[in-house]
Amino acid sequence: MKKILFILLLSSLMFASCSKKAESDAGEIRFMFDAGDLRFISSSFNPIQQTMSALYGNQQAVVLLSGFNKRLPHSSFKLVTYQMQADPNYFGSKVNGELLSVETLKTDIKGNLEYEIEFGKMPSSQNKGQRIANILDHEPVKFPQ
Amino acid sequence: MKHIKRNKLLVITLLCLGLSFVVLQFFNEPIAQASAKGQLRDVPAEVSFILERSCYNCHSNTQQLSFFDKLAPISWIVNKDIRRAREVMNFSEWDKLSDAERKGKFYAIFNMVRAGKMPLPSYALTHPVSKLSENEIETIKQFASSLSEKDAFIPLHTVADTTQAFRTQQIFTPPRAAIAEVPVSPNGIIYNAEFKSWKVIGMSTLIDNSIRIIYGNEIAVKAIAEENFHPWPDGSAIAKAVFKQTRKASGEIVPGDFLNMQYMVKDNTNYSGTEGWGFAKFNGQELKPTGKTALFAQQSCISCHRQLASSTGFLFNVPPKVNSKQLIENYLKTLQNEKDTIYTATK
Repeated sequence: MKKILFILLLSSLMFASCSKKAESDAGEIRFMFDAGDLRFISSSFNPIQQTMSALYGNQQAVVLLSGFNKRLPHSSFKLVTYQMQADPNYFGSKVNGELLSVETLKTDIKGNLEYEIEFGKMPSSQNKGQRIANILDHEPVKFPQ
Repeated sequence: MKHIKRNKLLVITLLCLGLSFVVLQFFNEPIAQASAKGQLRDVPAEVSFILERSCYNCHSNTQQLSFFDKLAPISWIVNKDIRRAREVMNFSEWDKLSDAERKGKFYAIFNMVRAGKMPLPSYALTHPVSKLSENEIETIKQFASSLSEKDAFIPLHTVADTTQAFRTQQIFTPPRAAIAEVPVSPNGIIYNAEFKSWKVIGMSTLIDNSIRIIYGNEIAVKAIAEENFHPWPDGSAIAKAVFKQTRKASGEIVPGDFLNMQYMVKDNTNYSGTEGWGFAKFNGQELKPTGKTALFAQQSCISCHRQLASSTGFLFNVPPKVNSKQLIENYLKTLQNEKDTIYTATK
């Protein structure tokens, strides 16, 4: 009887330690994008690709979006794209999930555009020019005055 | 001899207990009742029937309580539950709700039953007739979904006719006092325009075709990063800016008109009745506060947060744990190395 109890105890301990290991191996974390000095400009989602994006930028970037000066130097954008997923807590709600890409767009001192992928990949269906156009097509969200 | 003494002691104890029970009944105030209403306005009979059977015993002005439910001290618990239930959802007063409120309530009802939070498991245990079958939950889902059919059309996005200065001001500086007075919620929470400079902790959409941006102050962001939100530290604040969805020619959906700003601030002392969270909502361009009295949060906010978001400290929209720790760490390391290179080069 003692032997059986010992075996049961040992196997349950092994099972418990295995489950803990599986949890830590999964290594999934909550992520909040740190835009540094850039401010949130706007968000969007693509119902076909099921992605959700947030665009951040500096003051020059917001001016650039207004179309008044398309070669404004020192403007800086970051477009952060996530997988869109159902909110497990609320039916009918979708939230941003896994981080897919971080794209940057800057203008140099002469106002020339520089595009880079900081994380992930560019959507396969689009080229660099289309991605730049996509970023510049954003419009800042409008809050009450 | 000892045996007789023990029996006496038992009889005296039972008598005392019996007497206490009788005395308790003098402090037993029955809960007020009113006449029941017929079928709910704009709700199909089959849905109304399910709600009547499963929910009305708490969420209406008419209760059919058993003899035991009326006996103190059980009645105290039952009456407290009924009062709280009536506060958040009273079907006897359904007709007083606006269309938008009814729609919101129905999404909440479906979410509650889907998650198995309603009827309360403890209540369903002693009142098995209140339990809902899978088919009945599906019936409620179908009706809740049908309420958003009117919203299925998403208008085309139109480019705003605004000046460069206006756009810049919107995001980089707090708005000037164009609104004569700063709006104040009935519970004393003041509209805080500073949220636009906070970190965006998430984005979401809802079935009502709204698109939302969720901001967190430094305390809240730190709490999420450290997984320290059981409970959330006092001073944590979350602002959710809600916009109408509009569709661009490319098919992407972007924020249109501003609808409201929803605000939650953690203050265990002042908001102990709502799990330590103070709620406020400011609507439309005038930022008109929601609620006629300070009780509005008990009546319309906390119920869903309490039942459906308890795992994240009663707050929805905490970023889900879906990102690979290794990938994110590598990304952040690369960024740091780039910054260090730039710093060294400019030194």
